[in-house]
Amino acid sequence: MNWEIVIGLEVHTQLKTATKIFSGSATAYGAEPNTQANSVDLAFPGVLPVLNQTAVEMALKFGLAANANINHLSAFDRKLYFYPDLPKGYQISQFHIPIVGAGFLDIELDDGQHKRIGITRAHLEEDAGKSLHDVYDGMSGIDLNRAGTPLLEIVSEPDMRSAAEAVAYLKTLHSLVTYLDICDGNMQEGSFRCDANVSVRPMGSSTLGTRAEIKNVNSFRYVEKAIHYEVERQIDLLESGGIVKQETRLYDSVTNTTRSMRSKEEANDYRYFPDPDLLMVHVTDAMLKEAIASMPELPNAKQQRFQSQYGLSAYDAKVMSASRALGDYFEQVVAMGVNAKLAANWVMGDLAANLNKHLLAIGESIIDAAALAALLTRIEDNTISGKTAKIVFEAMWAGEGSADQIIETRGFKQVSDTGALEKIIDDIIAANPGQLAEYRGGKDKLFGFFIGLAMKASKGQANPQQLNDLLKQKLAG
Amino acid sequence: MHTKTLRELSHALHHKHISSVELTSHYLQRIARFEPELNSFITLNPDAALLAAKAADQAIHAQTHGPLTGIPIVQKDIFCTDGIKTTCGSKMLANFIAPYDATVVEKCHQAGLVMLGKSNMDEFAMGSSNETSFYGSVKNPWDLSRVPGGSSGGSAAIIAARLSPLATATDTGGSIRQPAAFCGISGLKPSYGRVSRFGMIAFASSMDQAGLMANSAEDIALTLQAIAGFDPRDSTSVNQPVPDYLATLNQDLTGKTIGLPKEFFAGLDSDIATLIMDGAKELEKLGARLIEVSLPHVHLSVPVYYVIAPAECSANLARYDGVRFGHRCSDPKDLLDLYQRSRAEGFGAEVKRRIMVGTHVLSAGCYEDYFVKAQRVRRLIANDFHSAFQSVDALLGPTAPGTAFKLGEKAFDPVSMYLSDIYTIATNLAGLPGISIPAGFHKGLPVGLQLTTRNFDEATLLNIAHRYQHVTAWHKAMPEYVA
Amino acid sequence: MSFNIDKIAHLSRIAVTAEEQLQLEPKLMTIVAMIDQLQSVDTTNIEPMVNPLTDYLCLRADQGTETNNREKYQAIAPLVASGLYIVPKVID
Repeated sequence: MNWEIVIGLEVHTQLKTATKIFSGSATAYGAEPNTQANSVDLAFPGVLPVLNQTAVEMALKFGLAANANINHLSAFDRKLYFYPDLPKGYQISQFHIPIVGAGFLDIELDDGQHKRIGITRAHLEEDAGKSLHDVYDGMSGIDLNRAGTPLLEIVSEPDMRSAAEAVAYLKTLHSLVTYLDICDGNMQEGSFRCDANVSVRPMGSSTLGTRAEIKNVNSFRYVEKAIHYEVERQIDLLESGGIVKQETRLYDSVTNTTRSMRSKEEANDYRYFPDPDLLMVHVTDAMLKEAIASMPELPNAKQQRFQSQYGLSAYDAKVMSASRALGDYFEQVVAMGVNAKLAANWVMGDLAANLNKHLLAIGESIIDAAALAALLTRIEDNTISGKTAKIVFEAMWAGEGSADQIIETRGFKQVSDTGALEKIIDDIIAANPGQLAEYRGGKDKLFGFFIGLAMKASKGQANPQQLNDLLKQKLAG
Repeated sequence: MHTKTLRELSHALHHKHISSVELTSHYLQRIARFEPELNSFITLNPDAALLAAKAADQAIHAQTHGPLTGIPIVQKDIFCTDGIKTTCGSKMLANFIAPYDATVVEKCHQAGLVMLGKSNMDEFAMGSSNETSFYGSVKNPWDLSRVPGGSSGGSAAIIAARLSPLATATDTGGSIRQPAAFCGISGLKPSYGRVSRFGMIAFASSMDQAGLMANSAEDIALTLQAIAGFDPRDSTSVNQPVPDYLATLNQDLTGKTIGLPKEFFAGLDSDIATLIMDGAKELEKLGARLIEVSLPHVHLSVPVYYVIAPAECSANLARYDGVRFGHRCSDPKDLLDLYQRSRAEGFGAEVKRRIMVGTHVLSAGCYEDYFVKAQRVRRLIANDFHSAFQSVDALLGPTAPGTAFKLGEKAFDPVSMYLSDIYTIATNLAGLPGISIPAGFHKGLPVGLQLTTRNFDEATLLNIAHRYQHVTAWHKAMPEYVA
Repeated sequence: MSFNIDKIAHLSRIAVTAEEQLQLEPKLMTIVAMIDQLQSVDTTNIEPMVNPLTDYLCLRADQGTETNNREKYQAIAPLVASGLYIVPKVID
């Protein structure tokens, strides 16, 4: 039988606020355990939540970018369950009326095709703390620093039909929230987390199969692998006469398998009800206007502008606009007078390779935009060749100094002085009269022989184009 | 000294006829004498009280005092106090020391009030007799074999026995007004949102409200001025200016219309009804017009309340899990055991019942039929009040269907206990302000008269109550036992 | 409406002994019977009332107000080690 794969994603994005959604505690990652958890985050008796305005503004920005309905009135509910990382015994979330309603995102697949993925809703809620296993005498330790960090949970429609589509959607969403500057997008630190609802059904069927919710798929690669594994598991199960259980499964990236979560085995009864501590959230026209005014240029618009303004190819423009930081970096290089195509090639080439190798984000690049522009300027003014520039780049990365310093100290300056080049060529011609005669007699191949000698004589620092032109002239006589 | 009004005490203190240390010592001596039998305190704080009194005397000396500086007050043990135990009447919080002050406590400190201690109460404010307190029942100073009412029974007994001129209290379904009635004192539940709930341990968040108990409406008005107002730490506190309650306290009642809800008198004990009608007639003599009104859905208040309050409490009390504070069972074998035993051991029977009822009404299959249904009926009840207030300025009726009952009398029948709040609950459902003031005695026990006004119209409420107390003396009566 | 004490006690995370259950059951049944009165009320077109206030939420500026108070908060904790709250093993 042919099976159709149906995937919907729930993405938890940690909003980039300075403080928590309902308290004035800091949200910075990596602090000592429980040093960023105040009485509200710890759910001490008598304390009350007060909503962070910036979290609301960030949710609005996302709603606008996702072409979504904004609910002018939304409400918070309590989701009740006991878990040690949930101090109140309930999570404050938006269940009945989310701040962002239905919308959509357009994604581009590897074959260049476009597909529209529906957004069901996006709602504000608070993050839980963390349980650290076996920290003490076989017991678990609870760190509540993360408790109360604002989350925007973005729920998609079950519109994706392959792992590749799911990844494409996730990448589009990731680039969008980082563009909007509402999430730092750091998947290792859990700022952008994904749960995948996966089911299969016979091709052509219009009813949905029973789905499994896969948790803990926190990289693009794992999403792809986890979905592949889960789809295989479900198909094997169905084809061998079994049934798929509706359950929560945990992805294990080490074994590349999913397993049923014991803690979620019992049927949950979350007893959602409106939180009486929080009145309705009113998105005023003024707030909406302000959100619209503060919207940055989004990826598609930026790509188009890069094509028209800088003459980049569609491909280059797409790569340069893949993230806001990358686009900014590229534009900073160009703003210093570097040719856009040259800038794009270097950003996509050597820079990207080094960033990947060292697992750095563009914002963490050892060579900043100004430094790269200084290097590329030396290619454009013929001080060094592109090939030499690569060596200089590596030296810059290694911290040896600016492009000019390295060119100077390593003596990379190209010999572009016509007089010096002419002398080198004259000497070579004079020293090889036989070859000269053969060349002039029609043996064109010997041109390479002369170039080689000239380069050797200039210790590789002759400007290749200039050398070429001059040599041709001289050999012609 | 303990028979003086707040105004008189304030005058005596600020003209240095008496020091705050002397006044505080006087009340501490009364506490030492009567507390062993009344059991109205959970925590006493004589040393800290005397230190605070000393500081108040210095402020008075330096002329930096306010109207309440140096006057003693008792905090209900539901208000968190920085560095001093806050138990909420529960074993669960037997060793809980909050690292912060409730806003009410903070405002009392700022006003220069001297905290004597923390009053006994029903566990987590769930109860109408003070018998659910882990720290033992409070006795009614008018009859030591009777309950003081609840949940603010400790504060009510303290005021009735003149162990403090002032006490804070809270009211979710009548927990200020019913014990005020049972103990023959004045008790105000302000409008929902008038006084901050920050640091006040939650029972049912959409109805909990902090208020005051004292011996007169005037004493309450003076103190409300200090504790009312917007608090940025409480999203349900209302950002509205606090009027000058004293400025309108003495206003003439001519032109005021007072409604008597017929539902509050149908089936009421006739002796109590007579006392309440006598009170109404006093107000008529003072110029108010009396008319009969109807609140057609008010009889549904008790069932609505016993859906919504338990539902909210089931969530509010989920934080007591033995992990970060509060009671933790010994040697839990696993996580589930930690939760189940810590909570089974830490909570008393009534609290457990309400948590379970609340869990039930919110559970899958019950949510719409019980919880949402109750929220709809709640609106019908609130609408009844809003319609009535189209034609009246205040509503008048009994505070409770009877007088203080015997200890143990209703302990085995929760529903009959719940019905003792039948006249007070509706006010909480609608979020309105209400006051109970003494209106006479039935078989030697105090009877309370309840007044209710529009939302945030505490000024009218205190005005009517004060005018009434100007021409009556019920509020000056003192139990013989403590005279 | 029936009341499944085992299920509710579990959801509430309250251990109930067999003896307690015997006492609890009739009390819960009388409470449930009392609240059942609501079923007969006509609430067509009546919006549920969540809170007596009709105001909208006041929002807080995204500004830090807290310093590290771990020591004070954990002074009253039943069991802590290395700054962590300690609980029996948590199973995912």
